[in-house]
Amino acid sequence: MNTRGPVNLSTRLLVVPGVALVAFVFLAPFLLLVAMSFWSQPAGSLLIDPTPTLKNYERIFSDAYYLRGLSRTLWLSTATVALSLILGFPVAFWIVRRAGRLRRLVTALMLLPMVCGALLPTLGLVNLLAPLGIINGTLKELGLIDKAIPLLGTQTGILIGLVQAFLPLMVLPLIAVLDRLPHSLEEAAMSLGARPVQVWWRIVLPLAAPGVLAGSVLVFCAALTSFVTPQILGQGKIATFAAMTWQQASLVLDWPFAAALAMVMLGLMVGLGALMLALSRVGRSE
Amino acid sequence: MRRNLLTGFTALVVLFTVAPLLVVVFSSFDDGKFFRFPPRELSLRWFRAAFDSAEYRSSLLNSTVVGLLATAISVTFGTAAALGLQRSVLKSRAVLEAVLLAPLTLPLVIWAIALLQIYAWLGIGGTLSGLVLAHATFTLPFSVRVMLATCSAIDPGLELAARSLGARPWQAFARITLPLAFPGLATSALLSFFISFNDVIVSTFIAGSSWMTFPVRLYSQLRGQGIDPTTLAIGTMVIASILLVVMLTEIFSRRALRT
Amino acid sequence: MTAYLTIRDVRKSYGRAIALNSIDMDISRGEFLALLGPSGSGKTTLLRIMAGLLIPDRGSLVLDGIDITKAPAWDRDIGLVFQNYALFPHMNVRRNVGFGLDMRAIRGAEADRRIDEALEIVSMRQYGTRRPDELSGGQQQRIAIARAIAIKPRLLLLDEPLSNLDAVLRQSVRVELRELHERTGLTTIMVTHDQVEALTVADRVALMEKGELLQIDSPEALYTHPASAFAATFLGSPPANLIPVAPGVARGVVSIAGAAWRPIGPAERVLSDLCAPARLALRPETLALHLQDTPGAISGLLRAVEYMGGERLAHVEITGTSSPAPVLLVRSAHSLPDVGQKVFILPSAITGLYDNDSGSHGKSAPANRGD
Repeated sequence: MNTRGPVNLSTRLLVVPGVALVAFVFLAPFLLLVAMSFWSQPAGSLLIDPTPTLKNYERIFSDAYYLRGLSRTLWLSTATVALSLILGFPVAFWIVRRAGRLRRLVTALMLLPMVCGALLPTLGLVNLLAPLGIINGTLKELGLIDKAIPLLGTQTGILIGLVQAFLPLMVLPLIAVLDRLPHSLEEAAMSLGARPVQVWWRIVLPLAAPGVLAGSVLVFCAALTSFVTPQILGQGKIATFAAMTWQQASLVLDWPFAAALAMVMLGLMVGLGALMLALSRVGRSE
Repeated sequence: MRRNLLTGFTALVVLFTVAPLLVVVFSSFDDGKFFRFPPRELSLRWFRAAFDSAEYRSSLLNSTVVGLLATAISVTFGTAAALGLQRSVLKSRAVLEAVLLAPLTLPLVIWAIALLQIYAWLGIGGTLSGLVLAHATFTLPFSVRVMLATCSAIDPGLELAARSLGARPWQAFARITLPLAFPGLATSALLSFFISFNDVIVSTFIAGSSWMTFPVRLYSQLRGQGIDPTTLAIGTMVIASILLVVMLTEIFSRRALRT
Repeated sequence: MTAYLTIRDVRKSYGRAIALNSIDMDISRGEFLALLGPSGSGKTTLLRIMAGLLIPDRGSLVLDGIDITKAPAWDRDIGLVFQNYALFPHMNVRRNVGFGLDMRAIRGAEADRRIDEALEIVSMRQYGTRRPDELSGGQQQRIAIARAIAIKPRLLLLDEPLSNLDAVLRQSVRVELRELHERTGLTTIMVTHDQVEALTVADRVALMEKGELLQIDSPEALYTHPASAFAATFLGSPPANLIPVAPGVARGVVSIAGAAWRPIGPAERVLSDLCAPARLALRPETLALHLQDTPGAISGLLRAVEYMGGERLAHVEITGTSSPAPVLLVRSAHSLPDVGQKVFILPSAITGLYDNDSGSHGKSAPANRGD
């Protein structure tokens, strides 16, 4: 409970530095980005023509290259969410219900890759997935394969990297929501005749739904805009939408087009967010 | 039986999560010239090479400088903002809070492109101040969040009680509120520093060659020459320092809770 | 007659901490039993073992002829009402109440009928479409009860049903629990730490302490003839006085708090062959306060008077050599003299006499026992 102290000028001033920083360094460039997506840059020139046009967007949705990139990125993101959910839900459940004193340790371990940044775990993954790496090596030794399975430079490899990187984003909201689920609810269901599977299906999952939605949105957005991991694990052979955006911005220097690509990604995220919001409202009304 | 199945599954997933980091650490001790795991012979060769490499030293220094400066800004602005938000009227509070947390909502890739363009126009692309401003901006929301939670957990009645016992306002703040807020401040600082230190995307876009930070160097190395064992050695040192800091934070916060 | 629920040698410990130390109990069909005890007594552990949420380390439970010791909770056909009600927040009242029926594949019209029946019994029929968070605590409890009885369980278990309710509600819900029991005829077991609750509601009370079952009796028998010092002081508000006594200097004389006392009547019968120091329990309502010395009375000094509305509670310090002097609480309907006056306390009955070491009966007062 916090009492509101005197709201005077000095109190108001406290927020100014932070707000100013965000306004100038974040909001302003972002607005510029939105505007720029409607501008154009004639081929071969670096001058930007500020006449409003939808050329960039048209190009994105008509050029097979970009459409493929978009569908590939969407597919990867969705698969990442699905895998994160399948792997993350049991882990979150274990942490909340069974971990006991190990809870802090295991949660910390799960968060470790995120704390270490995007590069270091990817570094390790490169080796793990390489033809001479430990995964292929073990499979060969077990006699399960003859030749090394190419994992690097494939979508599978990127998928593994994305799941490994963003699994914590699914686990954390799930832990939060499962924490608020009183154990007595599961016991009540059991006392009424529900077998463990039924307890999960009828009680735990529905009540964990908000966490599932939150985690899914987080993982989807992170995977959609992920740049470093797909670049490294894809060995530059597989272009995700974020990579295409970077290409246009840093190499081709067609900023308006890059802006449009960025806007498309943003639009997808906003769309997903709205969808999830609608889903959560539906869930609540029934 | 079911319980063990779940525990086993969790163990596997946790292993999957930390395995890459373990690989980095173990192979950094490998003597071989090329990146290999499992390591053949143990050696500290790459650690020595890392310390010798001027490029890596300078990039680590850059990252640290940028990180510290950005953290300083992030924590001060963030704490001030949290205090200001706490005392605000409801409607404006919601709006202001949304603004302050906005950088969390947008993926860095999208923002970095915009930043790249503005910085190029303003002529501060590749400068320290540009880099620090950017890092401060995307770490600010974390500081605000943490300090909001910390400040709302501190009972304002405590400061009032101190004042009623004769303390002047600044004394009450310094001797009561500040120590109580310390864990939150420490957390914000650490969080901001780590996030800034680890940033690849924003720095790749806007840092020029003069202020190349460590992750950016690492990344360009990876794209260019592939993995160099020196990189692994540095990676191990970074991981070790992160673990150290995390453990120290744990110990300190447990001590603080006990007193 | 075989009992409906037979509990034999049930034990449960957690590491070195013993939660239950060999419990034996026979519960009759249709009985309302209260498991009464302070926290840590093991009553909740025992309830959870009955429910199947815990498996005992040793011992057996036989319900209606079937051994359910190792049976999982979902196979036991037992209705459990939790202290925090545990209503499913994502289902409305009817779906909550019908959950157990759903699990037994009872749906449609038959389920509706039984849900209506259960809601009717708890007088919540019109709340069918509400959600748990729209209900007050008392209402939530009724739904929790309806949910448990809808499945027509073989046993109804209640975990501290009154502790989350405010004082006003507690009175009325106590009565309703009794009525519920009469209407449904279900064998009901209730866990509580509140002795008033246990005494007013149950047919029999099982008093537990530190994992042991101390005494299981009707409320009246437990109250008037507690078999242990613990029972004497745990039941009753205010609790019974527990005074150290020892054989006196001559026959017929008892040393009470160091003073010489010549008891008469029932007190004399109980104390006649006291041969070692013991503890005497005297309930405040069995003590009469006199202003003049009278045969068989204990003398003391009036130290304080508490006005309780309908009556007064006198604190009388026994005049003796013990230091500090034990204080007797005496109930009195009349107004009392000034504090500091000499008064004389005459016991009309002995609540119990207990061994100093074991805390249990040295000798019981002759009277009918409730069994």
